[in-house]
Amino acid sequence: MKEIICTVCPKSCHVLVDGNNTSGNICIRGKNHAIAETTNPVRVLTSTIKTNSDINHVVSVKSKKALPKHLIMDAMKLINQTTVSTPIIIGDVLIDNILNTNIDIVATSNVYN
Amino acid sequence: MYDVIVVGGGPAGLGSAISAKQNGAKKVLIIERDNVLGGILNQCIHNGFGLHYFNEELCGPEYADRFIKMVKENDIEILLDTMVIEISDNKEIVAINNQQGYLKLAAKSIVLAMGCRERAAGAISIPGNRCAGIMSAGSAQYFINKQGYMVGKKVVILGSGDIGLIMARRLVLEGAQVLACVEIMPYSNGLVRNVVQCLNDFDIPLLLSHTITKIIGKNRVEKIIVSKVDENRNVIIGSEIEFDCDTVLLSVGLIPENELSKKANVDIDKRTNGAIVYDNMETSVSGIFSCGNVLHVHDLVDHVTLESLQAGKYAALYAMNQTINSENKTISLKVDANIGYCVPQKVRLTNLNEDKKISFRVKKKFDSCTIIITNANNQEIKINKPYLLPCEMQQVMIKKELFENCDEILISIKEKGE
Ligand SMILES: Cc1cc2nc3c(=O)[nH]c(=O)nc-3n(C[C@H](O)[C@H](O)[C@H](O)COP(=O)(O)OP(=O)(O)OC[C@H]3O[C@@H](n4cnc5c(N)ncnc54)[C@H](O)[C@@H]3O)c2cc1C
Repeated sequence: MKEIICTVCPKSCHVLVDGNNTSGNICIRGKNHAIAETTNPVRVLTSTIKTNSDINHVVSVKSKKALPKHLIMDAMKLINQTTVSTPIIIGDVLIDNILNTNIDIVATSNVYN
Repeated sequence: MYDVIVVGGGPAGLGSAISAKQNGAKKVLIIERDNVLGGILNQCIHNGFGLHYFNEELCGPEYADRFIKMVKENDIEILLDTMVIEISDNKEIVAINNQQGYLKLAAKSIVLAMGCRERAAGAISIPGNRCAGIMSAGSAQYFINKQGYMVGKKVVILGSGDIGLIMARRLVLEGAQVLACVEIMPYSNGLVRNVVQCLNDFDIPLLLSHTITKIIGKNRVEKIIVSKVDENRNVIIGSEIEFDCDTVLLSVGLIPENELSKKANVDIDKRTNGAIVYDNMETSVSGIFSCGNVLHVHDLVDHVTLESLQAGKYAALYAMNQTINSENKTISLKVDANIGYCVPQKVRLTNLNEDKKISFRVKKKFDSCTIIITNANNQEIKINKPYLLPCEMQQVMIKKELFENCDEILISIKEKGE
């Protein structure tokens, strides 16, 4: 039995999860979320990557899909080892298939110079 | 002469300029003091923007980019690196920049969209040394996300608003140690989602009913003392905890930036620290409109955008037929003691052709409850809610019929069983 604070909506139900059974949630989305949190929690990672520009030192990025939570710090290590060249446009893939997750790290801002 | 001049190029400014243009204004100008458009969104690199407006979860700069593109497609003039320093009530704007120096610009109508700044008062009231390493959470966000500079290695955050929570996670991701988030209230001011994903995910303790009572450091912060407070927020002697840290971030609230509005003689609501507006987002000075965080602090940028579309539309209509809105008959919107404020504060009788969307914020948390909207003739609308939270702005639509034959509307909250 594990207690999950649901983050699907701001009501923030405290959901008790026991395998595939839940209590305390008031909707099905809450049930699915709570079960996912106990089996395979995932998070979208947002951060910045160094650029080769003298003016704009960093470009903001995100993981295109949510990454398994336990890989977040490893993904950060790779992100911090990377330098990219400008120009960069929103959506550009800056690291592809990070940590063999099939998920790309993409730019979320434009850096022209 | 411009039809509409928009002061501020954040989401509120972008939305109102686009809407002004699309509603018929010919010459529209945005004045922004930064060297880019987008406002605070440029440094908000986390996701969570646009779920309501675009039905997608975007990062701040992505959300801003969509509107910047629309501004460019709509043939709207832009002045960057330009600071507005004065607005007069006859709608003349004084601005300065490096290229043109002192500029005087006239507009038929003006939209105020200056956003808000972080409260720094907390810093002054903390006893102890005035050393380096103390800054607002938003400044830290700017240094890290825009400039690529780290702000510290061992950090304590004062205040549990969303900016502080977001920065706690950001600092840990970039290799800092966040020792604690310290909150004077017995509850967090941020969204629970942020408490879970920014603090709990990284085992950062949230110390509720605690505050920083001393900062110690010669050149840079070396140590801070945190103490527990009682229910009246008085420090409990003997509850001191010491933290060895080099950085303190303050996340203690936002204040709308209304210095310019005051110079233009716009009436300010003491509860919101923003302008008092009519249902068309017009302030007490005819032809001057206000929207976004300068009007009242928003938690969701989507709401800022929707509000700015209204302000832009009515600014355009004003510019085109120069209507002097007669104020002689208005309906005031009042709230009960459970509600902090509502926006707009007044509705004009001459403008009752559509239902009105009213935004408000409750003062404390309510579980299942009812929002009751009553007019002077005792007609009521009731809306049941599973919960209401202070950190979540509420919006209700009030049917135009309810405004007929009355001069006051009251919004109140009733808890179940009351
Ligand atoms: C840290 C943080 C996290 C947030 N997280 C979320 C989130 O996850 N999801 C969400 O939906 N919303 C979030 N928000 C809220 C949302 O970003 C804001 O409500 C929104 O950006 C406000 O828009 P605005 O245009 O009113 O103000 P701003 O974005 O502040 O823009 C105001 C602009 O006016 C300019 N300006 C001010 N004075 C002058 C002057 N005198 N002359 C010229 N220009 C001037 C400023 O430079 C600025 O560019 C967050 C806000 C912050 C601060």
